[in-house]
Parts: sequence; C-alpha cells; structure tokens
Amino acid sequence: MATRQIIAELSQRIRTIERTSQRAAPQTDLALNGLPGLERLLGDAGWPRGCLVEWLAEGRGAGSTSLALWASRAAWRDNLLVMIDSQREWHAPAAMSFAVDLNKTVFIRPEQPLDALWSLEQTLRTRGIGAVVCDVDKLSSQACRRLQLAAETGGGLGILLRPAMARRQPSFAEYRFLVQPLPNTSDAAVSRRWRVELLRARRQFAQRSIVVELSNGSDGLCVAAELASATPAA
Amino acid sequence: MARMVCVWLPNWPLQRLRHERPELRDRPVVLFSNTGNRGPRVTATDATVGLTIGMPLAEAEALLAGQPGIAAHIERHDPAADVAALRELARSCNAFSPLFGIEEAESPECVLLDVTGCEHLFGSEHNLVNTITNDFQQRDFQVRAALAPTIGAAWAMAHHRSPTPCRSVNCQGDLNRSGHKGLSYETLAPLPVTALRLPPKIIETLHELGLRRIGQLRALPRETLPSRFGAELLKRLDQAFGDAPELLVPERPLEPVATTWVTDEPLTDRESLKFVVGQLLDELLGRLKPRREGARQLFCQIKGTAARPIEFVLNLVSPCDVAKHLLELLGLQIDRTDLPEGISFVRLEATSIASLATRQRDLFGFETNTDTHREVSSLLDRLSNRLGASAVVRAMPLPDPQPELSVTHDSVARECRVSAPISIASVQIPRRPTIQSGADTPHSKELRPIRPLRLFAPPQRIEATDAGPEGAPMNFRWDHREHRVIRSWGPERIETGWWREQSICRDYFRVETQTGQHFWLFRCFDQAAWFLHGAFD
Repeated sequence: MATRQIIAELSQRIRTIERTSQRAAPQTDLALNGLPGLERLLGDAGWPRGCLVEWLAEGRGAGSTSLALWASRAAWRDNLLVMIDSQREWHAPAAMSFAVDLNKTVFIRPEQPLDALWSLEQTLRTRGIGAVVCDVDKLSSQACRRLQLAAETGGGLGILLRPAMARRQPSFAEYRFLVQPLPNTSDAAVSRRWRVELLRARRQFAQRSIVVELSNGSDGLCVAAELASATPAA
Repeated sequence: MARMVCVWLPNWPLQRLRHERPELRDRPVVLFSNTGNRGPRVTATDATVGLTIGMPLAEAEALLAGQPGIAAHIERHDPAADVAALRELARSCNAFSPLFGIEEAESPECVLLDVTGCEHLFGSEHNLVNTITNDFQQRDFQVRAALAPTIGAAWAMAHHRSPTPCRSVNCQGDLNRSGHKGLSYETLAPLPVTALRLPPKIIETLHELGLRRIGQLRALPRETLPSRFGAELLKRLDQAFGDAPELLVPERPLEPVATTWVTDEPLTDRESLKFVVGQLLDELLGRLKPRREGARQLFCQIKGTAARPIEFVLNLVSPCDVAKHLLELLGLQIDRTDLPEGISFVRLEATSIASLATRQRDLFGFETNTDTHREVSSLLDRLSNRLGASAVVRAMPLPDPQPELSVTHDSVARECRVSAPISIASVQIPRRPTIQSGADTPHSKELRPIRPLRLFAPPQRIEATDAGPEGAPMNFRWDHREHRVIRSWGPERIETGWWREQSICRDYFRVETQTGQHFWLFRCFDQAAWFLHGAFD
C-alpha cells in the first residue's frame, strides 16, 4: 500500500515538473537577437528570458565568445551582466567592444570549479541579472537541469561557452549552437567568417545553419552580412 | 577664529609599549623593523649606549652586549598598533572637545583637538591646556601641549616652543605679514624650520643653505619657494600661518554593538552553533532597529578549548537588517571553518553600521525596484563571502600601454564601503595604446586597437618557427597542438620606458591558424622568444 502511495506521489511530482518546463517554454518577453541572420535559426524571435544558451567551439580563439556576446548584447542593456571567470582570462577592455558596459558588469573569479558552478547557479537564480556568461567544460545533466530551473526563476540569460566535445552530452539548454571558423576570402582586413549551426532547440526550424561574417570596422566590430544559407535541414 | 590644541607625545612607540607593559618602565627599549632588504634596523630607542635610529640591529645588540648592566628590551616595531593606540587616546579626549583626531603623518605622535568655543567651559585657554596636560600626565603619559589658531602653529609650538609642559598662545587680533588675521609673525619666526612638519630631505636642503628659522623663510620671495624647495614647503608655511586651510580629520567615537553568548555546557555541532548565532543576531538587530540602522560589517568570534579563537569578518555590499540573509551568510562562513571542539563562547559584533536609508543607492546606477536591487545586493554578499571579496570584482580600464596592466579590478564589497559608484563618463574606450607604432606594412593600416577577449596572465612561452627577423612566425606549438599560421596582421610594437621597474619591448601579431583560430602573439626582444598572450575568442 505504502509503495503504491509513493509511486502515486512520484508520478504527481513528475507531472508537476513537466508542467513547469512547459510553462518555461519561450515567452513573449524577449531580448533581441543582435546577430543578423541568426533569426533564421531562432524563428522571428530573440532570446527568451530565463533560459540557457550553449555556444560550442573547438579550442580557444575560435570566436564563439565574440559571437555569443554579439548576439546576446541586448540582454544586459538595462540589467547587470555577470561574467564568471575562473581562469582569470577575461580581458575587460576588449569586452567593451561588445557593448559591455563595465560599470554594469561584475566579474566573478572563483578558484575551484565547483565554486564556479555554484556561482553560476546562484547568479542565474537572482532576479535583476540580465545575463551570465560562463565557461563550462563538464556538466552533468542533473547540474544542467538545476541551471535551467535557476534561469527560469531568475529570468536572466545564461550563456554557456563550451568545448565542441560537449555536443555529445545531453542538455537542458534552450538552444545549442556549434561555431566553426571558415576560411576567409578577403586578405587585407581583419575579418572572420563562421558557420553557426543550430544543434539543438526546443522548437525546430527549417534552417539549421548560417554563415556569419564579422569585420573590424572603424568603431569596433560589426556584422557584415549573412552571406549564404549553408546546409539543408538535417 | 579657530583654536587648535596639539598634544605631542614624544617617542610615542616607546611610550605606548611602556603603557601597555608597565614592567618595561625601568628598562631601555629598542624597537626594530625590516625596511627594504637591508635587514632589521633600529627604528626607536631610548638606550643611552650610543644607539642611533637606523642602525643595524646586529650592531645595536653588540653595543648592548658590551654593557652587561643594561637589560634592554628588544622588540619588533608595530606601527599599526601605535596608530590604533593613538586613535584610542584621541577618543578619550571627548571631554575637552567634540572634535578630536590625530595628526596625519607617517608615524603620528600628536593628538589634535579643535577647542574653538570650548575655552569658557574651563575658565580660560590657559586652564584648558593645563587640564588637558594634567589629564594625560595622570595616565602616565609624557606630553607637551600648545594652543594656537592653526594646527600647524600648535604643532610647531608643542614641539619647539614650550620648555614647560604647557603653554598657551593667545594672539587673537594680531595681523601677520600677509595682512590676514591670524598668528603673529613674531611667535613663529624664531622657531626652527623643523617646526614646519617638512620631510627630512627638504630640511636638509634648507640647512645646507643656512636657512634655519621660519623667519628667514618668510623673508624670501614667496613665489620662488615652490620651484626651489617643492610645493610642500609653501603649503606647510601657509598652513602654519593660517593662509592655507588644514582640516582636522575627526575620529568618531566608537559605539560597539555587540552580543556575547557564554555557556558552561560546550557546543559540539554546527547546527547548534548556527542556532546560537541566530539568537545573537536577533538580539543585535533588535538593538539596531530603533536606530534605523543596519550592519555593514559583522565580526564573529568563536572560542573553544583550543588556544586560538576562530574569528571571521562578514562584509556586506549595503547595510542590512534582514536576519535571514545575515544568518545565511554567517552560515556559509561557519560551514567553511574548522570549528574548535567544545565551543563555550560566541561573540557577534557589528563593527560597521550605516543608516538603512542609504541602501537605496544603487551600486550600478540602475533604476530598479527595491526588491530586485536587494536580491542583487544579497547575491553579491553571498558570492563575496563564500569566494572572498577579491573574487567578486568590477573592472576599470587604465590608460596603460602594457596590455596586462591596462585594467584594474576592484572588489565590489570594498568599493561600496569606501567610494561612490564609478561614473559612466570616467570609463573610456581604450585608445590605440602604442607608444611607438610598428613598421608601416600594408597590413598595419587596417589594424585597429582591438584587444583579445581572453588574455593569458602571465603570457605563455611558445616554441615558434620564425619566418624572418621581423614577421610573424610560420608555426608554433601550444596546448599540445601544432598550429600553422596562414595569415597575420602586425606588428604592433608595445614598448614601455626605462622608468618602469620592468620595461617591455614587444612586437605583437594577430595570427590566424589553419583551424581558423585567432591568437595574439608577441616577440619579446629582451628574451628573444615568442609568447602567446591571448586569444580572440
């Protein structure tokens, strides 16, 4: 009898959890996407409040951080931006080129990886935080779920920068992008091209990848154009 | 007109030590400290066997060993304790004046009192100075006090004028040379130049020129003084004569708000300790509540059977009176510490208190509602207290050409206590910071002062194959991988001058590898080697 009760309670809890995640599905309250062309992957919309977005890339210097910051810069326009920097690598003056206002940015520099995850969860859970940016190498699905729930509570955007090998791991993120640098055609200017592939989304769209080019204009970075739609739906 | 009293306690470090440890009263004392890398040196002494200030400690010990009759006490000098004790002494002068402080000097020895309008309470200025002097002497301090219209004049006379312990100078209504109503010229003119609180180097220069009295200095053309002796001299001269303002930084009387819990039945586990701390916190906040104040800093002391008590300090971003939040933060600290066994004493003190009205100030200048702001403050408190204040920071760009020095990080918790929020206008996009631009290659024109988002500190040394003496490398090895350079931009030379302790001379290149990664490398001319400094991630 007791076992039946437990099973009934558990199934009730599962239903509650499922309902919560349904409610957390994209809301009308959106932060605009800052990367022209990316809307083809996101639908008409921008970034839903209170969700995780993963940006995957192979190795340092591949440019996923630039794209992530450029695409989500509307999220911290009126709110605080938190950057979790366990490696103490973030160079704040460079971030200013990505519409990061250093007066409204807090850098958190934990020494232990566990502290970094704890800080990430605490920050995501807090209302009044526009976005959190964090390097995350390994993430269990349990921890990822906790982060997703924390983001739903707080309403901020969680930007997780991850290595490419994380694509094999399960995720609770709203979107998961893979960034791959492409060979550049113009030789003189410092410009870069990438293929941005949408690996996973809660809502599916026809197009799965786009090509983006960023070049260094006179006033910092600017997105040149969305050049070509690359691959058909996978 | 202002009336200032300066109470000088000659040889304050020695007086303080003897006051704290009366058994040293009849013994000569030698204090030493390590200055620079020259080994320990004598900083203060009253032994009469030929010891001088600045003498190596070993030499002093040898001299003392030659005098077996003298049992000198030798101790390390503690300047912080001297200042703290002097502040404490200043606070005890509350009976004479509502405004009291200590002199602003490297090693202060004077207590300053603003007694403007107080003298009638003591009958006359003379009586006031006498009462102050007697008060100090009754507490076994040797003092010399003087009263004058300016801090500078009072200091000068306390040090140089009065052979007897007290001397009041009344010169109201006199005109000094500049025509201002102030101190009489005749009072200060005969005093030596050392009475002006000048650095020893300036005093030495003045002595070399035969300028020994203040009167001689005043006779010189005023406008020539700064170029000959520096701005400090004129400032001190004007301060002494009342021609330039000098503020007394007042000490605030401390009103500790503390609660203590003592028991015969020792505590054994963390949960009970947290309960006790919760009780103390409720009591503490109950006392602050009628004053509409919140705690900004809490000090917690836990004593067990071990000899050393556990102590920690909790810093808050804004004053707080919410017991739940404070208890959570204290709980975080308690969880992190190794508790002693058998806890029988817990003390909680609010070491910094501020009015709760000030918490409306938004650290980041947002017009947010108070609830959200409180949540953000509470988050920053939690992060600062678990990770340490230095781990939760704001960045501020500096106009320094050396990339790793072009930004400074200020702790959010500390910043909130000491300063106003940084204004947006004070932050500027860094300009192209090169002192000397690189060779005018076709590529360098397109190069913008864009810095990599990731900067490695320190720069990582890499093995690279040079293409030539000036260009970027052809390939390099980093992160267990071989990287082949397919494109490069640069060089951008960053060079700092010889006046830096460690000057640098580097040629920076932005390179693109065959995998599409962009890195920032430099050739270090001093070490003739390549370094990886960052990644354009």
